[in-house]
Amino acid sequence: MTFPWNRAESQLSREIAHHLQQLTDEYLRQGYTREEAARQARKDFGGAEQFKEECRDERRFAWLTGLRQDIVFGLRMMRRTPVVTAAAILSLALGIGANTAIVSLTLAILLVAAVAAVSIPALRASGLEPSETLRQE
Amino acid sequence: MPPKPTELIQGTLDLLILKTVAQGPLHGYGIAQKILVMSKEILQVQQGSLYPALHRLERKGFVKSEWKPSGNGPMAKLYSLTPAGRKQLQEEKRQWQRYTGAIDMILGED
Repeated sequence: MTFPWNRAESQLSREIAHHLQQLTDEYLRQGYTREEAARQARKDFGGAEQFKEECRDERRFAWLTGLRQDIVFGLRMMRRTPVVTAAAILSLALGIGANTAIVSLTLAILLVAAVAAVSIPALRASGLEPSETLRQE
Repeated sequence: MPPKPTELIQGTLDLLILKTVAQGPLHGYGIAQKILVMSKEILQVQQGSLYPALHRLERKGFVKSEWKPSGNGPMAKLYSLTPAGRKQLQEEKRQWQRYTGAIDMILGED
């Protein structure tokens, strides 16, 4: 079973195995024994693991290159349309600001009221008198 | 006894790969064979070194790959040239010819 995250890896293995197989077949046609043919194929191919690692490096690097290109492209488009960019930044700023303000206010009111509503009866039940501040809230 | 195959000069492998896949899709083994045949067995690439080069060329968008049944055998990854690769091939070919032309001018100066 192949998972998407190791598809590239299994394809790399298959690709290299395929190459080694063809080299081996060629040596078999030339009359080498099975073992000797496989050995020659590996020798012609060179260090498979090292080459695989170099291929993986390409893949890792590809991700980074893609990200860099996307960022550069994004910035360039933003610079080309300053009005749209300014409008977008302004709306974001206003949106975040308004949200923060409202949430802070709501929390302050609701939370304090909730604390008072829960704690005043609880305090009275245990025979204590709530402080002046708490009753005022 | 035939002379030993010559090792590739650093940096020429990409050019050779682009050239060999320009005439139609090939898998790695096919590319290695083609380089050997086209150079009349003078140039020998270390076969495994094709793959990092192929993957690099693919990342740069000069070749694209596809899994297809190869002849009678199992599925193989076939590489072919993209339009960008074709342009790159022309460019690298021109640079190579300039380079070897310049070396020849110096060596021919007797």
